[in-house]
Amino acid sequence: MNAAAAPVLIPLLTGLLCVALPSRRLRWGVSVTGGTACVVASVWLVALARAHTVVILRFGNWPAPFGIVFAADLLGALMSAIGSWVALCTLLALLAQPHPRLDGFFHGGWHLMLAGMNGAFLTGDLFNLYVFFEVLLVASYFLLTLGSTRRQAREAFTYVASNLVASTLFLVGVALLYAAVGSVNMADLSVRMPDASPGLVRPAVFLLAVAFGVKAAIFPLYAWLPHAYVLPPGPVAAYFGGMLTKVGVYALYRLFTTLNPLRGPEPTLVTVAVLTMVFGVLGALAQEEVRRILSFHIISQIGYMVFGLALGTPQAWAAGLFYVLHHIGVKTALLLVSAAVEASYGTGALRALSGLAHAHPFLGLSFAIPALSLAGIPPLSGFWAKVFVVEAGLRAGEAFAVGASLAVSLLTLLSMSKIFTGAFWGPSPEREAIPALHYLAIAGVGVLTLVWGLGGGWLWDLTATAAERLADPGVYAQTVLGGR
Amino acid sequence: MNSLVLRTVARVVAPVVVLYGVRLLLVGHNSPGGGFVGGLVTALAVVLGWLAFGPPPRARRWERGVALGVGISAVTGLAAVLLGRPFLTHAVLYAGPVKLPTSLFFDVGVFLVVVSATLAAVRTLWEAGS
Repeated sequence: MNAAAAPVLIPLLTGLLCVALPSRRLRWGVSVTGGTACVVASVWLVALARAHTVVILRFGNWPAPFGIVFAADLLGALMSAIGSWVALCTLLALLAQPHPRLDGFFHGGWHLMLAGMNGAFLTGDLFNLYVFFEVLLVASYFLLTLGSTRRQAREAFTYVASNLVASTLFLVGVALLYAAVGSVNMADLSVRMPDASPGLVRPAVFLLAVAFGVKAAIFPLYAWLPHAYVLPPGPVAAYFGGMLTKVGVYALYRLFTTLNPLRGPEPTLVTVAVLTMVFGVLGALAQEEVRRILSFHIISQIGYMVFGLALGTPQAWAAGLFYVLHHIGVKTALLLVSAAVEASYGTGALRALSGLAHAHPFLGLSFAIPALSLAGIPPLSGFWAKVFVVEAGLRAGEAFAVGASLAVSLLTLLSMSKIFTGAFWGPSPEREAIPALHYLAIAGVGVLTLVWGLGGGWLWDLTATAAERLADPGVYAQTVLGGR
Repeated sequence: MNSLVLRTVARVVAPVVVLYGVRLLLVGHNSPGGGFVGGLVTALAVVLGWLAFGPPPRARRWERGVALGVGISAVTGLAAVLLGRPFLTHAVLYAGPVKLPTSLFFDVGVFLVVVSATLAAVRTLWEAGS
């Protein structure tokens, strides 16, 4: 079905049209319309994937595994829907407070990155996944250096260099798998990998895990992240902070469910997950700038998602997936609040800010809700996400890791209150205006945590269904490789 | 670079290289070749011309060439969607005795993208270097 490619084609064509259009207003109009269309298409794809298990598009009508296929299962479709929504909301924030040095091409980069993300989520071909990773990375290099200051170029260098290394490892991993199995179609791989020579498959899986780990910013591969998120315009950082690492997390999920399914807890991954939680939150405590604190928290939260994956049961995968979706909404909202503060007050340093909650009560509220959710306070979605992960962890007998994760969430609360006391309490500043459209953008992602917290049963049902289907890769393989 | 030897050679070689690039584009349907490599070869010929005779005085909007090229390629893919087939399904048309695969139009789009993107990159580096 062609619907599987719509979340890739729509942003691709939107971006192109924006590059070709002559007037600024036209570009914004097309850009926002295309972003909305992409949200609609990807939500529709979620409904289709739920009804049909896997929505398959065989490009050029070539059958798998010979041609390239898009195979949108519930996992991929959910990720693509939330990604499209984040892209639209952050784009609106950028429209509300245009960056002074923004040129006309950034729409192209914005939508190209969305196309790359959605392609990575929906493709059923490992090499194609590599290609879409590159598409999204090229677009992200461009967005990261938007405004082209010398400092941005220097900080971006770390990001570009680590991603180039990761991509090379990814490519070598794919080559090894191809040597061992003779296929790069994921469904075909999942069927034939168990019989292939472990001497080739094991290093291949390791290389892929490291490559995806760099992109997901797990311990000890996260050094690039704090550099990357500090200098680009605020809404770009929100877009990156929401989605960029989650593409890596998605790829890890794909690797350890469809391709090389875990059966029960995987000690190495559990250890890595706990270390990621702890080091991320410790890094955050040492920071004195809103955006830097939030960036380090991304790392810490990635730990919880990887923990869910590492437990290796469908219930834990569902919990991890719920965590991913919850975290994307919350983190994007927080970074958009910090973007609004930086755009209006010219700084994100805690020393220089105070009393924002007096000057902008609604801004205070839209920071407090996602911040509490991030720390896991009921009844917000973060509470449920943690409950599910903790429950899965206890069932798997990982008491130590669960204890660590609870301690980390206390420290999370601590550094969120640090931002709140530093920037939002205290004597009121000279009030600067924050545009209503920026509030709309924040609310667009921020409201998710309320909705999923108060009535998130349906989201849990969706992620549980997605995880059950991941636990049974045979159906996926049969649907992709079988008849039309 | 002002060199009589280079100018003389370029005058002969560049047109041949362009022809070879176009040939690669045309045979790509069922022989080694295609829009990507054809585009690279053609762009090389243009860069050779720039080296010999100097680049055009003003930077052109090459980016629009990229947009046009991807647009053409996307439209050939979407034509299949309109006919209810999977995206990028191609067919062979016959214009009298001439076989005209629709994938040729796709390749033309790729060709345009590669030529424009390469020339834009070379031009940008050129300006940064001088």
